[in-house]
Amino acid sequence: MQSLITRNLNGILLAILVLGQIVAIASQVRTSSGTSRFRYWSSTLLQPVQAAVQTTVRAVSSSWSRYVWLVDVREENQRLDSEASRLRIENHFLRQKLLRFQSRTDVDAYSQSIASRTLAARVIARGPSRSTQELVLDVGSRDGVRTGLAVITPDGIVGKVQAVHGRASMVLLISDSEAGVGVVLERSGESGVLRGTGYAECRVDYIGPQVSVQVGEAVYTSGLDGVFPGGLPVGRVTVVGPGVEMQAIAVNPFAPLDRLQDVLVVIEGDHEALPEEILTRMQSTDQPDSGSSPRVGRVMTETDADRIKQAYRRTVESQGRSVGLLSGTGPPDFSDAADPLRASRGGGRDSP
Amino acid sequence: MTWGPKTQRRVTVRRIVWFQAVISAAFLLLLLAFWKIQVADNEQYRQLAEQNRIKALPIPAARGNIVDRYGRALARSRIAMSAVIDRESAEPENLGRIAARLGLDPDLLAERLSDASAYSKSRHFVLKEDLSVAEIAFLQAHRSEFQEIDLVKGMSRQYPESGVAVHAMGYVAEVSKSELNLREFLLNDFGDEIGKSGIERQYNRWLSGEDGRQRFLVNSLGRQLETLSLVDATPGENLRLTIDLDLQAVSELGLEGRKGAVVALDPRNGEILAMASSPVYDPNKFVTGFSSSEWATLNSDPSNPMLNRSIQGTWAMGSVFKPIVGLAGLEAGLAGPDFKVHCPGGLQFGGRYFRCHKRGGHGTVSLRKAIAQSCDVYFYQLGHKLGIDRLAAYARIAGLGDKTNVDLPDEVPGLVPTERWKIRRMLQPWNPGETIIVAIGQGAMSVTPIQAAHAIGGLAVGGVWHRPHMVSRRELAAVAPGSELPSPRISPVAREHMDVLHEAMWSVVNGGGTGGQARLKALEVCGKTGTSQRVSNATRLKANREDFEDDAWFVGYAPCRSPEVVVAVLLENGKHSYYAAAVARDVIQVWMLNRAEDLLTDTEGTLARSQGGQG
Repeated sequence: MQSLITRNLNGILLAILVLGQIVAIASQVRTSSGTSRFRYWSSTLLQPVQAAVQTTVRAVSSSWSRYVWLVDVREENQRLDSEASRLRIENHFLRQKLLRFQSRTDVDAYSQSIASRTLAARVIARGPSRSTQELVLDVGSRDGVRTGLAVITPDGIVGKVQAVHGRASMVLLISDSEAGVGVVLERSGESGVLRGTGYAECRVDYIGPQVSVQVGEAVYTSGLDGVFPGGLPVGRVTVVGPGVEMQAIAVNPFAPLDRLQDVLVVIEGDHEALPEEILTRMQSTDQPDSGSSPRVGRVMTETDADRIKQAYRRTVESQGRSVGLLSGTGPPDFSDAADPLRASRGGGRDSP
Repeated sequence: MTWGPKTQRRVTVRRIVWFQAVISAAFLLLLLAFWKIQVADNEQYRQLAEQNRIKALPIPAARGNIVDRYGRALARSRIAMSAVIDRESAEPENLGRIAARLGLDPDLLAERLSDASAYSKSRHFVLKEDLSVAEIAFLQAHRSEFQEIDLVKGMSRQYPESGVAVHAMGYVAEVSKSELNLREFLLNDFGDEIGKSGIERQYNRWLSGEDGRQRFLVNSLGRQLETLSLVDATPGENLRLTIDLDLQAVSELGLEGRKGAVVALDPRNGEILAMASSPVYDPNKFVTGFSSSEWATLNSDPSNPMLNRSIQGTWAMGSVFKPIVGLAGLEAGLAGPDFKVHCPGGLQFGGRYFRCHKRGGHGTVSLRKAIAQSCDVYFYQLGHKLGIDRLAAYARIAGLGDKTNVDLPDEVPGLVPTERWKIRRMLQPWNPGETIIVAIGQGAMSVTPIQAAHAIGGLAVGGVWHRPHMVSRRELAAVAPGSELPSPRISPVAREHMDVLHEAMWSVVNGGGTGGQARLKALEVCGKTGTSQRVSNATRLKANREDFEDDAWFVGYAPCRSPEVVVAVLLENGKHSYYAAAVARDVIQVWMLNRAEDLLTDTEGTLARSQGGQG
């Protein structure tokens, strides 16, 4: 027996290697959820190890502090801390409710869809590369996490679940250059889109030059992106620069994205699950005069043609007449209307 | 079982030979495979690899602005965001979500995708133009899920919100499959936006620019790494029209709440100063997209808002035709000063009684009075003397019965009946009773408002009919080199005949005629009214239906002696021609104010230049 193995050692080794290769290749095949099996298995295998390491580190450090400091007070403190976090979020949602929704039915719909279902999670790793801003959380598909869920903290929003494994999930931070969040400005209520830059600061796009934006004003989620529920804090404006089509606005996120430890995954709060009337209400609160969301770049709603037609209309109406009115009362007199309009004709007459 | 050493060696040798054979075969197979991948199918694999690694996105070009004769904007392009989709990597399960969120019909989207793979030359096409902030937020937030979608900065068309000149201007929308087969759109690709009607279509090639293209490296997750090449979009050229927005605006205000059309021309050169049609539609809807209910409403609207009544609708010309009949009579020597008709309020002819619009009759009338008072009996008589073919010949000289060939698509020719036409069309001989009906602008004859303005305008300047146009001769030289405006059709009218017609049409407005509403204090306006029946008077009175009411016409020009502007107003079911005359009056008033202002600035300019020259 021994000799059989010794004699065929090379062959066996080769077989093992080939088999290993095949398994490795097969594991690269993507599963239906888009993540590779290999990644899924390895993360499932490694997750307990990572978690154990985290737990050990925490346990050691906390036992040390327990030893040094008063045991009970420390524990109490920790409990109160997390209680406070939870209350802060709850408080925020309640405030939002009061602000936005007056009627009882709306409150019910809103609380049902968002305020209740969140899942606490711990950050166990950061993304591998500097250019991608990612986090790994200790909760995964077994805890009910799905891709596309919002990840938040009491301070502000964090990112979106991008990939889910059994006991871990990957979060794309809002500061990643591929990320985008629908936001509103606090003072004007104007809608824009928050874009990551790959650095700590983010920017807000699609705010037209006519909108007044101030450094220091807060930015909230608009709820228009189908990921983040509306009304969550995002960050504070740090720089406002002029622009032809849109202003250059930099925003510093409220959430400490580089040193996060505990976060909440919003299990229920996906805006697509929200009743349509709430969405439209939110849109109409943002734009009191129009039901639909504004178009990008529509800086001036009028063309010259509109302006001229309105000027003639006003002139005729101010005389209590109309164009084509029978002249029993005298025809309308356009000589008044004409003067301010002359300026618009300017030079460049294209006479025959 | 035991083998001797000899046997053992033999087995070993055989094994080695076998082994060698297998190895050789394996290597041969490998070599063959490598050769196939690296040499035979090299190109295919290289392309596949490139496509995964290199992404090319279109940069949509801005369409040129359309401005009036003074450079004021009628249609312009503005920055907008568009979503483009890569049809090759489109995931069927994503499409439903994307369509729902962007307000697109999922079935239509699926159809467009399959059309795109059949017709399109490029991988990407525009899924939706002019995105709202909410739509951008949604797409941006789902970038990692929707790898097939990219956001690109594009240009979107913006038309006046109050519907100024919508019919003349036309609109842009995505090219259809059938249009892709037209020679006109040979250079266009699936998903391109093209001018669908009006000026936008006529001058599509001039107005549309050329899209640019950006190529960049992407990693396996679709993340952009670096730009490889960038070909900027070439924007389209701006187009200056002969339209004067002041006249256009007042024309439209005059049509508000009514159905009808106004066309204002400069009869000296054919430049169109205003072209309005009512009711209107919102051309911006073609850019942002209709909901299916909006589209159904627009299409089934009985008042037909999409129709450009100025050039696509025909009506009986009514009494506006009378000056042309008068011209025919004068030139034929039949309507001289000695030809007078007694109008008792009607005429018995061929066993039928033809009424004049004035029950009590006009008494004895000459041509001048017949035009001023719009006496039907005079023209019954004159028409009968002339005969249908002579009438038709003069109508054709004035440009009726034929397209004016204005630089807009889908103009209709109207109709001037002749004996020949009737025999060919109806296999029936011409009835002389029909001639006298045509002589007052009723019967089978029909015209468009632009033909009415063109005909009377050309007559008023002494028999010179310039082709009406929206783009001036000078501008056209740049827009379409080689294509020139044709020389005008000239059929000089004798001085003394011209005098009679001017005087007659002056009396219409200023001499107690039917067009008194068009009268202005500061400027002498000439013109001719018309009221054309849609049904017989008896039926109209009995039915009491809005759409059976008479159509009202007025075609006026000014200044009378040397006309510089002619305005045709048609009010569908307008009941009385004086309503039309009042609209024309206001348009001419604005023209007059503008002209005075132009003279003033010209004088000031000349003064300033001469003073500058002296100093």
